[in-house]
This record gives sequence, C-alpha cells and structure tokens, in this order.
Amino acid sequence: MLNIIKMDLYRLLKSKSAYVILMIIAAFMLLSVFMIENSIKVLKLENGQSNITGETSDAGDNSQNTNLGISYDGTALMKDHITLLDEFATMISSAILLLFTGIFTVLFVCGENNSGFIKNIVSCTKKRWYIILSKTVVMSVFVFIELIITLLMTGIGSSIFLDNFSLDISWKLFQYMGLQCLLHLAFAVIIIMVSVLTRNSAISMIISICLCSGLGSLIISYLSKLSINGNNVGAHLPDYLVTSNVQTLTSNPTSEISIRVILVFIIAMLVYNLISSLVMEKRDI
Amino acid sequence: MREYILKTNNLTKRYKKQKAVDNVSLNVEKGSIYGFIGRNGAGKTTFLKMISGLAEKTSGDIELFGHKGNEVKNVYDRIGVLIEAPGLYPNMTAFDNLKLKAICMGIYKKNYIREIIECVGLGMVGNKKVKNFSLGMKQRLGIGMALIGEPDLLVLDEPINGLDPQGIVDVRETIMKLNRERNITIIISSHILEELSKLVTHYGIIDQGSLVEELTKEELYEKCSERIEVALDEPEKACTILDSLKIHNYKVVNSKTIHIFERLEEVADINMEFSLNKIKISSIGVNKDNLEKYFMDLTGGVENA
Repeated sequence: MLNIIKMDLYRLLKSKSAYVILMIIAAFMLLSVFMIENSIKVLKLENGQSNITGETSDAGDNSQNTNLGISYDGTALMKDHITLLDEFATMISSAILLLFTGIFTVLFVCGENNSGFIKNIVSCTKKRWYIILSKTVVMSVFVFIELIITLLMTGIGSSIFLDNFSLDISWKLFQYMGLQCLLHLAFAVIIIMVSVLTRNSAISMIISICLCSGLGSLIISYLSKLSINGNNVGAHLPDYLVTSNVQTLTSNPTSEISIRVILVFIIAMLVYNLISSLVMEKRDI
Repeated sequence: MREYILKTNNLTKRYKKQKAVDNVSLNVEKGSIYGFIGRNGAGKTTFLKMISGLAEKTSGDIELFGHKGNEVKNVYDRIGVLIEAPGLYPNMTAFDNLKLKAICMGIYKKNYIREIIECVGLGMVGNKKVKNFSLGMKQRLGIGMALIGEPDLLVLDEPINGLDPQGIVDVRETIMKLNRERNITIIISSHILEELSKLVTHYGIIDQGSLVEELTKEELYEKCSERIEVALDEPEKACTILDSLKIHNYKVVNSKTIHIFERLEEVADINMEFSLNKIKISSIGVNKDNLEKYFMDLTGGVENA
C-alpha cells in the first residue's frame, strides 16, 4: 500500500496541472485581497452615507441564506484592525479554494482512468481499495499545500494592500486552518467518488463546480424545508453538508461547530471512500 | 513433464444475457509464445483481462503459476500486461511513466528503468513526452511497462495493431528477444495471422467466446502443409494400399478424407493404384492451406472474418 501512495505522490510531484493550479491560486489570492480592499472602501463609504440618511444595512442578516455562486463576504473585514485570520477566513469561505480542489481532484483521478494507466497498477496492488486510499492521501497533501499557499499569499497581499492589517498569528488561525483542511479534504473525497463513479472528467468537473457554487446546498435546503406529516425531519441537514460548512465556518468557531466539522469530515471519509472502494473492487477495468 | 503456467477451466464471462467468454479451458506451457486468435468481439480481450485480474470472471477457474482460487490474486503481480492501448501518461516522459510503475512495485534499483528503456529499443527518446511518440514507440513503451517487475508471463493484446512494417518488425523482435533471453512466457493476441505465425509456438483459436481449437505450431504446420487430399468412401482399404506403396506419412482426417504428406508429385500414380484396387475416389489433388484459410474455415468463413 505504501508503494502505491509513493507512486501517486511522485505523480503529484511531476504533475504540471498541480503546479499550474497552485500558481493560479497564488495569483488569485493576491488579486482577491486587492479587490476585497476596494470593496471594503466602497462598503464603508455606502454605510457612512446610509447612516446619514437613516437607512439600515442588512449585510449581517443574511447568514441564514444559502449562498449561490462564488462570492466574498467582506462584512467580517469592516473593522478597524484586520488580522490574518479575518482575511484568510474571508478568502476560504468564498469557496474558491474548494473549486480549485475539486478541479485538481478530477484531473488527478480521471487522468489515471483516461490515460489507461490504471491497467498497469491494478494487478500490482493486492487490494484495489488501496488505489482510493492513495488518492485520498495525495489529496490531503495537495489540500495542505493549497491552504499554506493561500495563507502565505493572503498574508503577503494584506501586508501590501491593507493599511489596518496586523500579522497576528494565533492558535485560532491554525485551528481554523485545520478545520478547513478537513472540510476541503472531505470535499476532495466526494469528488474522488464522483470521478470513480462517472469515469468522465467533464461530468465530474460540472458536478464539482455545481457543488462549489452551492447548488447542492440549495437543493438540500429546499428539500429540508419539506415536512413529512408535519415533522420537518431534515431541518438541520444543510448544517452537515461539506460545502455549506466551508462557507459558514467562522474564524472563531465554537466547540460545538468544531465537533460538527470533525464529524462531517469523518462521515464523509468513511461513506464516500467506502462507496469508491466498493466500486473500484467490483468494476472491470 | 509439461509445466503449465496458466490453466483455465470453463472460464466464463457474462455481460447481462450475453456470454463474452464461454467455458474456455486452455493451457499455456511455460516458456511458450501462445498466439490467441479470434475475430473482433470473439472474446479475446475479455479473456486476457480475466487472466490478468482486470476483470472478474462470472464462473470457472483460473490456475496461475500453480495457484488456484483466491490465491491467484497474490500472483497477479507476476503478470505483465499490455491490453488494448498502452496505459501511459501523455504529459510524462517514458522514464517517468516507467518509474511510476517501478515505484508501485517497490523497485528502486539503480539503472533499472534505463535497462528497460534500452531493452525495448527506446534508448534514443531522451526527455521526449509520450504524447509526441509514434504509435510504434508507444507500443514498445507499453511492452516496457509490462516488463517492470520481471514478469513470468506477458499478456499482449494486439500489440502490432496499427503499426507500420518497421514497427511490426521491431515489436516482433522485442517479443522474441524477451522469450529467448528472459524465458518469459508470452500470450499474444492478434488479427495479423501471418505475422503471428512468425512468432508463436502454440495457438488458441477463439470464436464467439468459445475456444474452437488449441494446437501447437507443429500441429498447425501439419494441418496447413502441402498435401494430397483424397476424398473417398473406404479409408481403411485405402490405408492398406498406401502402406503397400510404402507411404507412411498420411492421416485419416475423417471417414471420407485422407491427407497424404509425402510423394506429392506421384498423385497420378496413387490415384491409379486406388482405381486398380476398386476404391471409389470422389476427388484427389494437391492442396495447401495457410493460417488465414485455416482460421477462416474454423470460424465460419469469410463473412465472419
């Protein structure tokens, strides 16, 4: 099993798409910091005007709504001192990193099927589910690198573009990063399953984009509002979705939310990896 | 005593209602080059996938290197596989593709990859990406991939399909070298029957999922060699006459046919001798089959080829 993990790590190392995606993430994060800074200035200006005219802002009241599409919520940055954690959390909650994670997962998993390379390794492995486990390990490495790059570029970008920024590296920052790492890995595991099931890059990519843009959460939210015999059985279902957790996880999560995130991660790892492994074991190559 | 590297017993693969492979029982001798012949959709690839562990069997047994049942899974890594197109990452070099499989098999020997590259005649490719390779180069690299881990059995599915004449010669020489120098048993399927006949020592002919015939090169040579074909009513009586003529190299094919493999130029004398002994001859003449005709006859003629 270690050999196949080593093989996939070597492939990751040699994968041009991995470097391209990481470079795009780096550039995107720098650009995003700059754009958010401009948005904040505009928001502050608008808020100032609305205070004068007596209008109220509803920016902070939309936490219960389901986000559709990839967008930044800059309201957390509307304060005098912005920390690295605030900026980092704003970046991650936009789900842009989730989108890149999904794209790379599809490229990595489907690449093996599309090229036919899987034929070379299936007979070398004692158990086929090692192949799935190996992909999960590689994706955990990739997600970790992604988050580190995001953190670095957010820090660098904020230092350059923000006047009221303080590079405050705290335990909370690492706690938030750890929880988001788990959620991104859980999402990667979902996309591994989709790629294994469909064996089609285009379909997997579309599903990945739909999930990142919140379409899945929207559907689940709608379904959860339907009641059966007067009982709203699925009312809390959206709270346990990977994508909605990525978007709603705050920079200062309570222990209850942290446990929920860990629970979501464990269940995703077990259920989706189990499905992928079963399909891989039974399927003819 | 003959040592068999692969034995299958009533191996069957069913897709819904259709049997792709139907009760195939064949034996592959150690050190042989086994030619697997069949038209498109005959079940060759499915059979090869089953014996390589790429596809599950529906029923039947596989015995690989003396291992049966669930133990077979433990010896799949002794098989090198090139089934359908070679499985290669197009954006990587030959070296990296080979290295990936070597890592997967836990092989880290110095110069191991270089030796494989040289062995399949790709020493000159350097850092060229696989996507820029010719079809022949890809096929040879595919064979190289199959060679990682020093397999005892090499399964090659249509390795010369789509190759130009030079490519065919290169692949043929590579295969023969591997069999001769490394004593690797090879199962090779192909449509190009004449080309196959230059390589193989044993034949298995499959049609509509069933194994029609299994024979050695010598047996096939005998069947396809030049001979006098006599169609007659009393083969027993004819045999006595042939013996009296001191013709011993003949074969009673069925109750109405005898094949004589010697003194082909004396067909008129033999015919006269039969007539003198009042044996009714329906036809007599010198005939020769090639592998293609033999295959056609066996699998139902031109319309099936």
